[in-house]
Amino acid sequence: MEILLDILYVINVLIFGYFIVVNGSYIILMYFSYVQTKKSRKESKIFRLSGLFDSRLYKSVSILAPAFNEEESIIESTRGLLNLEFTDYEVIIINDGSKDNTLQKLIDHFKLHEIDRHVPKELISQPIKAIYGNRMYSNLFVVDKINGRKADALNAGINVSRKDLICAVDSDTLLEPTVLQQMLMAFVADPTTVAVGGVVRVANGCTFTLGEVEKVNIPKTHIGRIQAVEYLRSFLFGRTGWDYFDSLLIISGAFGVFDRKAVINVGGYLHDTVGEDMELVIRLHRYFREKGIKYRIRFLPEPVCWTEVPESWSVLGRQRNRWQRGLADTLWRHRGMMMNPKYGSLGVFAMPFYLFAELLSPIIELSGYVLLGISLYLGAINFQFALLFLTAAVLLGMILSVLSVMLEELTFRRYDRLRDVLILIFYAFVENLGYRQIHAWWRFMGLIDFLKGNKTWGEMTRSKGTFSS
Amino acid sequence: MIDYLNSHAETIILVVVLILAIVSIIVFLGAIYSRWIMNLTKKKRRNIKEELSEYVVKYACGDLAFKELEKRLRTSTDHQILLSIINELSPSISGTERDRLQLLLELPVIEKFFMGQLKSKKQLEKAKACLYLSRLKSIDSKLFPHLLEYSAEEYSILSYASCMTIIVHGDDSQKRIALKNQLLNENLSDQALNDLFVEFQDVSGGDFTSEAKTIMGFISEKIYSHSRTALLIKTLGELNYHESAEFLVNEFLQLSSDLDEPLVAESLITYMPVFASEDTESNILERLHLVYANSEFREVREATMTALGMFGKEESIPILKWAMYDQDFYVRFYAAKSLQSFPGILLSSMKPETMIQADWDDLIGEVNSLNS
Repeated sequence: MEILLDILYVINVLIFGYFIVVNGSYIILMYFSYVQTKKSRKESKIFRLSGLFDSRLYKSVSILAPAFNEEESIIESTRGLLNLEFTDYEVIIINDGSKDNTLQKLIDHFKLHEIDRHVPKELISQPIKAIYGNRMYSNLFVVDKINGRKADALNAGINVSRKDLICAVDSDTLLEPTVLQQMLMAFVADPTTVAVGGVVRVANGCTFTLGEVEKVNIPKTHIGRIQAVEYLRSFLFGRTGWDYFDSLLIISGAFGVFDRKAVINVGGYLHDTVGEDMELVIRLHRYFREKGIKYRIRFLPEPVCWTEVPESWSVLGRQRNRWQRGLADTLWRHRGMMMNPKYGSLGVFAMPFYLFAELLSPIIELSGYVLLGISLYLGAINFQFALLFLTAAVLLGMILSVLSVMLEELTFRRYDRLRDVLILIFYAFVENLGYRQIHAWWRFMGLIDFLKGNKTWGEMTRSKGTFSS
Repeated sequence: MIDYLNSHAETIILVVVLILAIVSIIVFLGAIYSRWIMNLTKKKRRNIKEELSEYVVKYACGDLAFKELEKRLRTSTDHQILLSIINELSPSISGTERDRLQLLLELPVIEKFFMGQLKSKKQLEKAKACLYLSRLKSIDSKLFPHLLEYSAEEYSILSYASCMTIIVHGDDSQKRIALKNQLLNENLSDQALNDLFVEFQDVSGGDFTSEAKTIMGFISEKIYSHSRTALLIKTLGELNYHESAEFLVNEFLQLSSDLDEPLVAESLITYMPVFASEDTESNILERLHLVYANSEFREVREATMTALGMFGKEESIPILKWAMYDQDFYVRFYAAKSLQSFPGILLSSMKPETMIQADWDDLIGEVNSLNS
């Protein structure tokens, strides 16, 4: 019994150490993120793109927006995509076998008719039923295809696209008008750039006029506000920090620009995974490193796309479960890169970090809570220890979240009102009490589902008209 | 170790928790304090900006003397704000007002700051200083050796910015050296080079002879990569350097029939219809018909079919019809598109015997979609 108590004690201390190391690493990452953000903002002001609007000498972009049952938001988001300030781009909406009126709404609103467009079979995808266009909107194409899920739709879109770069976006997101120019900067600054990720921010609560964000507000619901903090912490500063180390592993499926040829060379998006965005990025890393070709995959903190986040617990749970399955699947597929010096800092540093700090964290975190209870019950630790343990774990999470809100303050300051910032800081504190544990549970279930081989997407319902004026 | 942890764990955790609690409070209060300070600063800066904007506009219009404006500038914040006002106003004004505004950039405080940055150890700061210099009316000739040195740096941002400054202020020979450095710099993208060439043309003041000569000189040197040479050709074409017409046609006519890569030939062929003269047209067509219409490179055949359509000579029709049998869709597509531009040609009756109906429908459909 005494040995068991000793073991429990040590495990508790180890778990406590894990919390310190992981959160400490994130705080260090955040510091580098701040450095990188400052640098990136300065660099972006150097190149002028002088001839962008009067010559054909810059890279052109195909925006690919897969849509599945998006009838509520498809017109607004398509209008937003058509209003971008860029000289040479096309918008390809891929209706991935929607069961609602997504296609008909597009046809009616933009007065589309069926056109013939040659589609080379460079990537495998489900058959395309028809392509629609209209000369009045000469850069808009709608592809109607048999359902094959997001990766399949994107592959079909890549086949249809004809520009140098592809910009994969979710059809329920809204891009800021100058976003393509900002993303192009990464390709201008470095000719070896093959992919660039941009920032995804929470649209809930903001007001939009004619496809542009007019007023940035925080979401009105608790769950939305917690996600606003999460998006700042993970998607903005986390990824900018990884960019500093040239080890970015994820470009959000909601917003990323890729070199079309590079994507085709690696075989496009993978069909049988729910983490197709991360998987593609890691496959690009792998391809270029194995071939010994110089390349860069960047994350820029300035270009922003706005996305509607789930405001129901069940939908959010399904989303996070899917993300965890995607992460597990991707790390498993590319396990050969793990701790492999051949892949540089990516293999030695970034992938193990994702394994221990992201993939295994729900197991460790939940075990920590359970073992703490058992240890307390068996008397391996006293109440004071348990309380201190919990307080320390929660406080570390709080510091991390509050720091991310503060970094936002020091850099972008998208939220105008002090009230909004104070509310976000409040949620940065309270997300660690309850939400974090629920989140860990969703992710834990995601791992279980991954082990069971579950590759379903899960139904995602959208609220009506977030982007409507 | 376990014994030590057993006996000291509570103390260790207590210390950690205390530290974290203190840090949490600092971070929380820091966030509120920073917002409060930033709001104050923002308000103060907005007031200064409003006041200074009025001064600057009056000065630019000639209603206020330079000395009076200078007297208003007391702190470094004033100078920073002045700089941002100039940055905002510059693109929207021209003529004398712009010239007067440009003079403000030469205020000793601003100039001293950027001159210091030019010698900074940080390359990005040097690049920013270079861009500042590019906006001045003139710069000290002693700076050119530094700028030329920077233009040869591998760090593309610095080499780009210094080259931009040399393009604005340098003489022809300095511009040539700086641009050459960029062409040889593998870290600089073709798109960044486009920027420089657009600026290179913009500062010429309308007569492009010297600029065209410089670019043609680069092409003649034959020392750059195929991609860079193709870019130079596209620059001459896209930026309408008609002075280079004869040169480009000669380059095309002297191009080897046995290509080892497609980029240079493709870019030359693309601009032949624009730059050909009556005297050279038949020679160009002959080479297009005999050599490039059956190039092993798809890109070259595509460019050839497009060019033949733009020339619009009936003698090209058999070549275009023959290209309808090409294995590459886009060669067939451009051939079909070009054929359609000839009067009296009924494209729908030209289906190659070997082509299956679905592919033919695909091709015709796409050509017609463009015209519908």
